Amino acid sequence: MLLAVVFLGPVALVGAAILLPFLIKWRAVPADVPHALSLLTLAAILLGAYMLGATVDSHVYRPARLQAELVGRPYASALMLRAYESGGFQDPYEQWTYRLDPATLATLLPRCRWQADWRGRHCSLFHEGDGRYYRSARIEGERLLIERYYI
Amino acid sequence: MSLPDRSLIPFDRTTAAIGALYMAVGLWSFWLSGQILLALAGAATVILSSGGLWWRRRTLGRTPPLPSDDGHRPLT
Repeated sequence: MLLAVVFLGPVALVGAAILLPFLIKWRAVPADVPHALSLLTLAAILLGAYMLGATVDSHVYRPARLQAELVGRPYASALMLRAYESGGFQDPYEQWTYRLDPATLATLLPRCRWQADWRGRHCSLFHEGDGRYYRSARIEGERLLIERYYI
Repeated sequence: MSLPDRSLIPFDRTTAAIGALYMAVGLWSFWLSGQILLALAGAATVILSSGGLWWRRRTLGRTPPLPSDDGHRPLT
């Protein structure tokens, strides 16, 4: 979060500073508003546009594609998403947690391979890894967990 | 009320609506993952566009009166 503000904020400001002279020349910003205000607004819009794209990618597009790869099709929609976690600098990971409705749960449960580990007994729908990366789909209670790790 | 303008950043409801969209998706993202940057960018867009609109209205209010409005007869 802090990293994003520290890096993306200045990038958005520099991008806005590069764009603003052209927008003034083409009269695409109001002439009666101070240029500093136009600059800050343009920077906020650019930063927001980038973050909006990144959010849609990480919360909607990427997990849907991963679900299609792991369990055949995107069973859980973005509206069922209840948590998203990502992190790791050199070993990045992502985890999506969905709350499944009973119909979807009933569709997926017969495909379970029941496994027991330190977490207890759980339903594994898919897992694979080759030492460099690991990805899995599993069900815990009413939740579908999609994970991807790069080691 | 919005001022008539064809600018890319018109500082009116359009700009504020973009900010509101950022805020809505940003709050959803914050609820899911704790990432607040998009909501902050949306709030900044709404505040700055409101500031720009306020500035433009203030500037319009300072428009000097026409010569015929100041009590003097216009020259003919």
